[in-house]
Amino acid sequence: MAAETVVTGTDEYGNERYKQLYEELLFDVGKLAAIEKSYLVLKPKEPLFIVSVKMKARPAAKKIGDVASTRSERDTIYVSISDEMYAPGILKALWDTYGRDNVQQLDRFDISVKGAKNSFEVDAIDVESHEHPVQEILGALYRVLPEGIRNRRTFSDSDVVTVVATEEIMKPAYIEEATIVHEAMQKGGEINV
Amino acid sequence: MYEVIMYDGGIYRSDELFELIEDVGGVVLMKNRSSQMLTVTMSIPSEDREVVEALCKDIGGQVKEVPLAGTEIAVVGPTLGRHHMPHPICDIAEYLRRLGAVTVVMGISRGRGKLTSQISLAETSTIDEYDACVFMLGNFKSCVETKADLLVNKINIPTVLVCGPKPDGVDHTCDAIVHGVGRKASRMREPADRAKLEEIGDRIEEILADKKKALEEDPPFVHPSEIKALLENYEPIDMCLRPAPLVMHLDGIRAKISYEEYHEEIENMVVYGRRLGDVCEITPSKINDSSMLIRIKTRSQVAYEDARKAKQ
Repeated sequence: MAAETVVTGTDEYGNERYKQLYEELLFDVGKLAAIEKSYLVLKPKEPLFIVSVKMKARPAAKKIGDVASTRSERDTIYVSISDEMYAPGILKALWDTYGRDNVQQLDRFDISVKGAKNSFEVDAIDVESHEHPVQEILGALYRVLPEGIRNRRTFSDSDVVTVVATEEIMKPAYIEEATIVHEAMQKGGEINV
Repeated sequence: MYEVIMYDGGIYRSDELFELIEDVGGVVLMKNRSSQMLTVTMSIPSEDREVVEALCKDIGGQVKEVPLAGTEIAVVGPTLGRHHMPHPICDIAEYLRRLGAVTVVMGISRGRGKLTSQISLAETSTIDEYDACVFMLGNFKSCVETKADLLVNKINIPTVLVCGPKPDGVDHTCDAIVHGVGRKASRMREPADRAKLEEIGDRIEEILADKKKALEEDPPFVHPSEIKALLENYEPIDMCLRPAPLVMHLDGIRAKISYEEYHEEIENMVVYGRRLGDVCEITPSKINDSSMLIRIKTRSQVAYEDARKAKQ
């Protein structure tokens, strides 16, 4: 199911364009498919911007076994990458674990590793922490928000991330409004702000 | 009257074209060679245009209209950050380049935000060095209106404001407004986007036509292309490795060599029996010392100064 994006705000033209901009930026970081629903409150006159994102599932940590297949041949483990997005991460994790001399990238998708006991040991190496996808989404959200809107607060719970931003003083009313949006996104109810 | 056209074709027999331009008393404004392809922007007398066009076709090239040739345009965004800079601004700059202008992209150091944005005097005077300016703002109407008043209003050259929504009450801040192009994260490739680029090009052409008309009422003492022809063989310019060491403006020229080092030599050059320093105002660029601005005085200005000197 395609991600649902709801934009409310005081500027009709801006709402339309920010919806497009938001989806383009999330698509660029490859996270649009991982999002179930997004809710954007845009009040440029105040200025107050709230962006809340509900993910389909809380991202889990990725291990080499999740993004590549491994097989053992004599004293060498061969890693065949199935998701290229993680290729640099896999290479770095293997270098850190076994040293550069023992890890060789044979071609774009294949890596050979010497010095590992068995393929299960390689499978269990972490490539990406569970925080990383959330950080990438947050980075994209910061790019969606206008550049001058620098005073930001972030709420992150289970599968919902909410960012509230303003230009000068973060008023309690702004945080309250963001909390309402954040809680409603968690519960899945109607949002009235 | 001189006309500016562009030859776009191969390098083959291009020496004949350069000879003809020289024979008719024209000037090569810009020459770009890429492998076997060549583009030449030239200023030639109107009465010889047919002859030059015929030769261009004869040697296998095309002649294109370049309405913005001989101008330098600043495309300005609120900042150089990735929020503001990439797509629309670069696409606008590239489109204006295809119309023959030399474009410069710049951002303001404190242009972001709504309540905290500002433009300094150094920034406005740097932008004022150019023939025209395209100022790009964003998607929110209230922000566009605030910032047009705050930033665009302070620019003293012809300005086209490009923004998303149609702003109200900002007509006095600029010379033309093109709305429908806001902040976006993708290239301007769609037909609607291309139409907007054309609209921006048309607006720039119109405001520059007004400026040209104003200049014609009291024209510069010499045409900028004549100063260009004079400076082209000056050794520091000839040895300058910057892509366009001489950039023409409507009322002068930008020479990309140090003001401190060379301004005296340039002032002492002679054009139509007059010292260049007497018929031009030569000043350092506000950007830094690596370039200088040569603004040609108008005929009435030169005549007035001559009369004053004669009295003394």
